[in-house]
Amino acid sequence: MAEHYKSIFESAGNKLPDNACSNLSHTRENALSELESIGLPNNRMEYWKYSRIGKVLKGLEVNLGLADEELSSLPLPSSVEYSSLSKAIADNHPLIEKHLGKYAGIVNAGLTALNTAFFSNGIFIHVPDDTVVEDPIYLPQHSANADGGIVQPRNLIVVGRNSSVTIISEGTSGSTDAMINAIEEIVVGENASLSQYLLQNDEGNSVNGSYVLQERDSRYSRVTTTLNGTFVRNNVNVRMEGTGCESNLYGYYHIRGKNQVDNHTIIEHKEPDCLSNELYVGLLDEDASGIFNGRVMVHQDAQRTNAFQSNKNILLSDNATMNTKPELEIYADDVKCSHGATIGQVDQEALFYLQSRGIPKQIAMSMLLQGFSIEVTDKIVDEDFRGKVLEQILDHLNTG
Amino acid sequence: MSDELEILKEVTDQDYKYGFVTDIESDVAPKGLTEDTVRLISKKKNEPKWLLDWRLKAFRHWETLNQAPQWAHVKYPEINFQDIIYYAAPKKKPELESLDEVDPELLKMYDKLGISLEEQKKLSGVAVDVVLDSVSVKTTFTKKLKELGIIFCSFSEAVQEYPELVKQYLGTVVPYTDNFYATLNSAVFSDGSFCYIPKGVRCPMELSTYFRINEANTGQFERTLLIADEDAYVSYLEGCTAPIRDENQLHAAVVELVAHKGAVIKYSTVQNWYPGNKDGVGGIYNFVTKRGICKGDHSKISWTQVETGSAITWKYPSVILKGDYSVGEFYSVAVTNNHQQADTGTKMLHIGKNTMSTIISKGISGGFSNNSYRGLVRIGKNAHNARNFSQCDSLLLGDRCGAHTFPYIETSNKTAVVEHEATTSKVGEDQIFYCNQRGLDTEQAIGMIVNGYCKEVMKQLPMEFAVEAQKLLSISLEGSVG
Repeated sequence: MAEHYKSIFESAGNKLPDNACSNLSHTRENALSELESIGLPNNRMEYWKYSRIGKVLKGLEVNLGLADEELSSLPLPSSVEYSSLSKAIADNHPLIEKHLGKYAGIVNAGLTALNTAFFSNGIFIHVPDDTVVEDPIYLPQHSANADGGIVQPRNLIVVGRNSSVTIISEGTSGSTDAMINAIEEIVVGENASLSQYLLQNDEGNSVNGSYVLQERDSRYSRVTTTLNGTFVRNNVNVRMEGTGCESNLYGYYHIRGKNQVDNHTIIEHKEPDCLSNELYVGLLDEDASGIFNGRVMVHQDAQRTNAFQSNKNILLSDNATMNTKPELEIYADDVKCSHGATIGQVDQEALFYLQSRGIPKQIAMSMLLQGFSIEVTDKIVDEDFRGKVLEQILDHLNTG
Repeated sequence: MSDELEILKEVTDQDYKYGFVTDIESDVAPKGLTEDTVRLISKKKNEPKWLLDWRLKAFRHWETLNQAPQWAHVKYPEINFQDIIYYAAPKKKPELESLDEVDPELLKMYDKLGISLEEQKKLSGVAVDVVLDSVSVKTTFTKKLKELGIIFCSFSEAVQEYPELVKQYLGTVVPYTDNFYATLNSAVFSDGSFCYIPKGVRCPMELSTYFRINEANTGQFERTLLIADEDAYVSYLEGCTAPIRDENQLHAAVVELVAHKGAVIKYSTVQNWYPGNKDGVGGIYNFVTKRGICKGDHSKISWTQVETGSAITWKYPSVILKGDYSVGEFYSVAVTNNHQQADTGTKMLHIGKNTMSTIISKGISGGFSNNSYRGLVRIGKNAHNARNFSQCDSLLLGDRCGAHTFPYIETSNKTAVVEHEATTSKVGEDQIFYCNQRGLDTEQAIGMIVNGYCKEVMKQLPMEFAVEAQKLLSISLEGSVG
């Protein structure tokens, strides 16, 4: 396999945008040798154990082309730098050299390395220091082009000191004979705040790796809603490199058919006095399978850490499965950490209560299930987008 | 702070109380593991052919496994399995009529351990099957049990006298292909305990066996098989201490429990093997496979363990809930100090309908130790109305130790209700201050707080053990707060 990728790499080398920065070609070569040593994920790997990644990857080739990203047409404050990644690379933007490829670790097994070796395009956003962006920035959707295969989009988002911004993305649509292998690297600067909202409601396979680096006193919040997708794997890795950080990860999923949704999170507390909070709730219907793996690591110096994690699930069908694994790895003593996971059903008494007040069973059920999601959707601060998400959640519940 | 440091030093400097070597002549097999070793063990024990064949099958399978499992959150140098003596037995002695005839060296050793046979016999009504190294030396109370039809003897004795029972159940819960160490055990197990409770019998006393690793460089491969027939009840105790050795000693035991319809098995362990000195040198490697099956409806298996010893503990007492309405329980206190490492937990496999499991795990880590809970709750497709509740708490007593939780929850039935919760925290300064204020010194305060923290598990232990376990807990904890 290693030889295979090497030859693709050699033949594609000059097509990939890295000519401007000599460092980048070095990064790509490192990634390629990393890929050789780790290999692509398979079910024998602990963090891919329940996943159907093996099946998805079968027969898929690396897709080198990526259509130019259609940039958002929303008005943006002129201070925000917003361009395609290839342009930023061609312009030799200093932030590219500083950040690109620096945070994406190997947690995705070889997939991150694959992306780093072969990515051709994506989005570059830079919010300069001391800038508050009022309106959310919408990211364009990554899509597999007609060739199929494994597509590698790549985003870099840098939020400067004391800045604040909301970024929204909707869907990473692919087709069943393609897979999106998206990586985003995010830097949240000192005392900055970034809210990220994602809505995944398209068919296809995707593995989405997000690597977030938080500097001192920064706040990061992420709400992921997954309603569709043959195979959706979301890897969120947050590293707190400064004191006083706060990180909130929320997720809601409701899937059907033979779909699989797989949320993996890693939160690394490296410095003292940080707070992290995680809540993932989901519904699994028909033959769907869900996976949650939350890992909280508290390093030795991260005293006075508060970390909370919770995963709640409802199975709606006899053939649905849920595999959950909330992990804690703690090396500091002055901490308050807790995690919980539940799998259960809709409260029959609550259902009866609603029915006894004249609400038909199906609507009552839908009301209760919607209530289940509200804990998560309430965390979306942007009202317009929250409305949209709620509407789609409700649609999805009622079409069941 | 300085007080606490002093206490810490005092305790960590303390030598392991139970470290001594008893001088008994041993019948020792040459180092290393080959097919001949397996044949030798089998021959020494005068085993029937089927058992030898079984051992050989296990041995051949073991040869195909190229390495010991790596997934646990523990670190240790690779074990050279050819550098271990696989068989050591105290020299054959003529049958003994009474305790007076037991080797006085042995009796002295038990006295030092505080488990004198006479006392046990007189006071507690506990039948002790003493396993020294690998061969049972003395079995007491067997007669009394025999009257009820209960079989409680050494494994080799059972092979000779009840071969059909052994053959029927051996390897049915932990097959020889189960895992690396279980396979190794299946090939070279030397002895252990065998227990059979017939239909409808309630075992009137706590069955107990004390294991000791005595011979230098001897891996100990115990095998315990416990069967409770329909509507039977048994409470089984297991306790361990071992003498000081600088070289690491391997202990790879297998315990199999079978509970038939309506039967209840309660299996309690206090493990206090030599944990190594304060720099992490020496200590026992404890890689144990324990599993029970609730075969019949309405059966119940309950594991209770207090783990304070061993350099490395790798142990997951599990329950297969096959019968409808069967119940599995796991109560655990694991204490690690200095450089100890523990990776322990349980598996609850729900197969039958209306099955229920409870997991309560309390981890306490101090010094430079690492303490992990690793557990699996699996609700099978046909396990309707399965119910699980898990609680895994960790207490950290120092800033250089680690506490980890790796719970796996797999559910494929929509009627299942599974709850898992875990917390990690340290003993609060305000709690200690509160106690100090009322005249308790810091050490007493911590003892109290930790004992309270473990109470839920401790109260599951039979009386005889609860006392010992509480003592152990305070010894292991004294001054570990810094």
